[in-house]
Amino acid sequence: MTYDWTVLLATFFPGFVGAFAILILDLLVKNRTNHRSAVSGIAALITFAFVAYSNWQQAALLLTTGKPIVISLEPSLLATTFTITQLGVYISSIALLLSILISLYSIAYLSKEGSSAIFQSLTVLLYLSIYAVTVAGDLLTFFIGWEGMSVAAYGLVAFYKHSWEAIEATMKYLLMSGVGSLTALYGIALVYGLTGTLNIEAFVKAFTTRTPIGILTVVLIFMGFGVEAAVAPLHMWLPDAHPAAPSPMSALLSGIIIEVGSFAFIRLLGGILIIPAYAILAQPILAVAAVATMFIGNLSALQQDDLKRLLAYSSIAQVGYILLGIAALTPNGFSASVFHIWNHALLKATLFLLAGVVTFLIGTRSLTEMAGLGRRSPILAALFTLGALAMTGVPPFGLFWSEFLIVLSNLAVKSPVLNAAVVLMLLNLLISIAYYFRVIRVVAFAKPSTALNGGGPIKIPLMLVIPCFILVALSLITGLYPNLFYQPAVDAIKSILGLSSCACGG
Amino acid sequence: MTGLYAEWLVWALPFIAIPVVLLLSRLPKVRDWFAASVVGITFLLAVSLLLDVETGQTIASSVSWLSAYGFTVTVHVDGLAAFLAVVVNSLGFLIVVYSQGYMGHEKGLPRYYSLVLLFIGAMTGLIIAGNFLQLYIFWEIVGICSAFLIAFWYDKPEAVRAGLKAFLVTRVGDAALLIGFVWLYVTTGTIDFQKLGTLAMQGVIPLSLLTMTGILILVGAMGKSAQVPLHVWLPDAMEGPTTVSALIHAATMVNAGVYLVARTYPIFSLSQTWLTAVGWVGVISALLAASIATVTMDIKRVLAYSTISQLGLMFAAVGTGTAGGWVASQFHLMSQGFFKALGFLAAGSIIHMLGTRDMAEMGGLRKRMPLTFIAFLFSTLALAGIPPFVGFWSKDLIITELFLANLNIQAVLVLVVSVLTSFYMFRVLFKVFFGPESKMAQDKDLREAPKIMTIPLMILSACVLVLGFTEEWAAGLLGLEHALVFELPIIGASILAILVGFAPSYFAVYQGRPNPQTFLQEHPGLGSLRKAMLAGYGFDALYLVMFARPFSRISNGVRSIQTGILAKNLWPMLAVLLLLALWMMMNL
Repeated sequence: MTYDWTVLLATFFPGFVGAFAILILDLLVKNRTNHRSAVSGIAALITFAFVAYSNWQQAALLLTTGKPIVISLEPSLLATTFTITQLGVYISSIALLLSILISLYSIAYLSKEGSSAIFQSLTVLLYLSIYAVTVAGDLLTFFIGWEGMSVAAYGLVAFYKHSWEAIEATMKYLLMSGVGSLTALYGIALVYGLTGTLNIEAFVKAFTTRTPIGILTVVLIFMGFGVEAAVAPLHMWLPDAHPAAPSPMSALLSGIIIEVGSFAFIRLLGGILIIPAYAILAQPILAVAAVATMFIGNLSALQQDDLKRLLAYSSIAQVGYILLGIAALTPNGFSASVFHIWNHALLKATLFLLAGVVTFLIGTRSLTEMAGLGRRSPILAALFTLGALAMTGVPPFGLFWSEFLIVLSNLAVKSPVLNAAVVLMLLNLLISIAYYFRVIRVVAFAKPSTALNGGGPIKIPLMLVIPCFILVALSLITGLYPNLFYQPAVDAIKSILGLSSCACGG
Repeated sequence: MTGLYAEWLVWALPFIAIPVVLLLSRLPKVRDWFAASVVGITFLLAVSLLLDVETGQTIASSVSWLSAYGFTVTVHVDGLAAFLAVVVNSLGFLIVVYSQGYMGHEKGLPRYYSLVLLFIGAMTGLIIAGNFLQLYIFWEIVGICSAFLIAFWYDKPEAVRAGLKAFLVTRVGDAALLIGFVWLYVTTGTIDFQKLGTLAMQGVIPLSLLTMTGILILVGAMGKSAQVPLHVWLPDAMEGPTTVSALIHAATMVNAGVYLVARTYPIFSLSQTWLTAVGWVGVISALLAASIATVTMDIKRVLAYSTISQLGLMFAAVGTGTAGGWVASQFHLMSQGFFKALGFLAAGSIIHMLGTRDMAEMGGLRKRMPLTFIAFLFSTLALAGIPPFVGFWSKDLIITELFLANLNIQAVLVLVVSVLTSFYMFRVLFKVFFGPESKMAQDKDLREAPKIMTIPLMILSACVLVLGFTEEWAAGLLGLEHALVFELPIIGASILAILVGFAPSYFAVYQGRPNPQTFLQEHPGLGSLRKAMLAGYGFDALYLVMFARPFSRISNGVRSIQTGILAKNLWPMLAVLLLLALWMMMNL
């Protein structure tokens, strides 16, 4: 079904206006108030309210028709096309949820920084770019959205522009991500050369037989987007970027930005990879990449003292799990991965925001220095314990389900490589227990470090705690009623792969 | 009683009660008794379920959960489930009441009571679960609770380490369990115990698959029930409060593995390999653990090794592959639960009053703590298997069933375990309660524990005395159609075994003739065996060398290849692109 472009404008227009207005407002109130960060934050929240309303409308439209909403500016295969799919809505909703909570959190978190207008404005732009990626119907739009996302992310990582750490991290991120983008662009060019179209549905359909040049195209796109997705060994920028960025940005980066890479794999390559001729090659390669990513992430995290770096490595490991779900190359595997994106976003955002609370309170990221903080703030201890526990994949939290479903979908494919990969994934879960329990022990239970010894209970601004609380609660709800968030993922994958009936249930 | 939704409330109630426990932190007395009464109510609910299913019917209901795969939340109460639910909740209730005294002056009680409620609720949920997935979820929750309860005194580094160890080691088993049941699911399309049992009976599931998945699930059970070689977490778990040890050893946690084996028995019993594996795992664990218990000086660790050994007997009973053996395993589970809870709680009152776990500091406590002495005596008599205590009946049943199934080697080995059991329990009894009064007891002017602790002890003592007479009834409840067999020669053999174990204990430990020290010096072979036993046969050292150290070494290696130098970071990407280009050139 074809729609008017005003459907999209309802999101983009308030978004861009809002992003701009935040900056203007900040200039206007510059000398008049001490609450500049609150002004920017509230402006960002209002912007997000408009955007959320419009997204809600689109989702409702999507649900009533049950078919993707196609918006084409010209009736041509080369035209700029937007396709609102259920998968896109699923991913952009996660991004929106995180963005809203992070805007709220940043009001308090960045209140010491003077102006946080740039941060809030970039967060809005970042969300709009992710939205553009998720609704892109052709590769060029997809790529433009992608680059927009990266540019906004560079800006956010470099927010503390006076610290060398942030600049170095941003340079690494920029250069590696740039190389990745160019690689992907080369792949996109090849797609056009091979199929004569950039329309995502059309080019996926055009890949029917396996040719060397076809393989090259797939590999280039995979590697190109794989940098942002932090697939080992292309992940090297990530452990630097996370600690350097402000914690709310780390939460976004780890919670959704790197997962947009996994979304790209499913959206652009999913339909090609499940073709048996490609699957036979892709499956072992994906499985090996997934396992390598998990091991590098978890083993690097094992002895890490910098909490945010530890969490960053853990995110790399989680990308490995997501990739393993994709490696099953079945609708069930894809759904499990998408579901994992949701669960991981909730929990990793929680943990990064909590790490931010620690930085906010005592200005350290080192686990040794923050030891015993939980004794002075039981709420922080409780949230840290719940978040870290949930990250190890124990029920009744949502992450348990998606990890379980990844295991299930891989064992359902009778392939020795995948079976071995599942065993290794379970081993990785054990490793992650070792370091997450260390985090729990140090933060919540350990004897206070010398710097923290003495002193009464610490009060934490509510605005820093509420987002974490909401995220943990959502994870618990997902764990108790998995249907609520898993069924949409199943439907989303069904509609992407154009399957009338899902081969669920083994 | 179906209008009560007892089958749902019996496990959900403790979960619902946790927020209330946390909210009541300002009113500690109210909170503690609230927690106890919640478990009391679930105990009554479990009893009502037992009465409902006594005549052989089952209660089952389910609601949809994950519709894409057709997974449901299913509660399924049959004789086995109701029987164990009563055991778990009755012991749980007594232990929570006892906690009022034992934990009275501790900090962090909101955490203690909420975890205990979660522990008991999850264990009951595990028992009532009608399918593998649901069982697995409760299984994991039980694991977390145990880890956090073992590490309850988090200021002690060894307690924290023990908690993590318990969680990690049991998770190894859990991973096997997960793969096992998912594998069954992807081939049969169901995770429901009843359906899988029917499918297995019809011969739809290939025997090789049954054996493979059965063994994977057995590994899961071994982790939770602390069977060799996954037993290493249990002795260390003694770092937790004694009430927690009692919960883990008698009511929850370790029983989960035995229950899982019993629950899946109808599915896997067609595979003779599986039965043999179950039986031997049990016999070997029973022997190894019992031998270590004979030399340990920490009173709680003796009881811990004894638990491993008794659980081994239950596995051995399931391994007979007969209905009688299956019943014997569950009856022994109940029996072990009661006398081990009694043993731990009695040891707990000594530890509480005296402040040590080292038996070298105890001695002659009989006069100062008469009630505790009676309790521990009853526990010892039951554990050793002296009639008419409950342990006699259940152990005798296991040995009889082993002989009836023609598993003579295993039966004889179990008799050896009996000898060892009698030896180490009387050794503890003599060391702690007889002989000259210890200096520590005199210095501290040791007194009997408060009533809130001794009353549960008395109730449990009465239980271990009379519960043995419920054997016929329990067998009927668990669905055994024929009457139980009692063979006089076997009863004679097991009593003889107890005496053989009692004698060295009496002469060497009580009378000091021969003196144990000089005896060991004269027999250097025994001395080195004793050393090996004290080191737990080196399992811990082996795991340290095999897993813990290599992982930290690899971890360092992985970190060192990530230099953070931009030029190097791009190498892998360039390498892949170059390889691709080469490959393209060859193909074009």
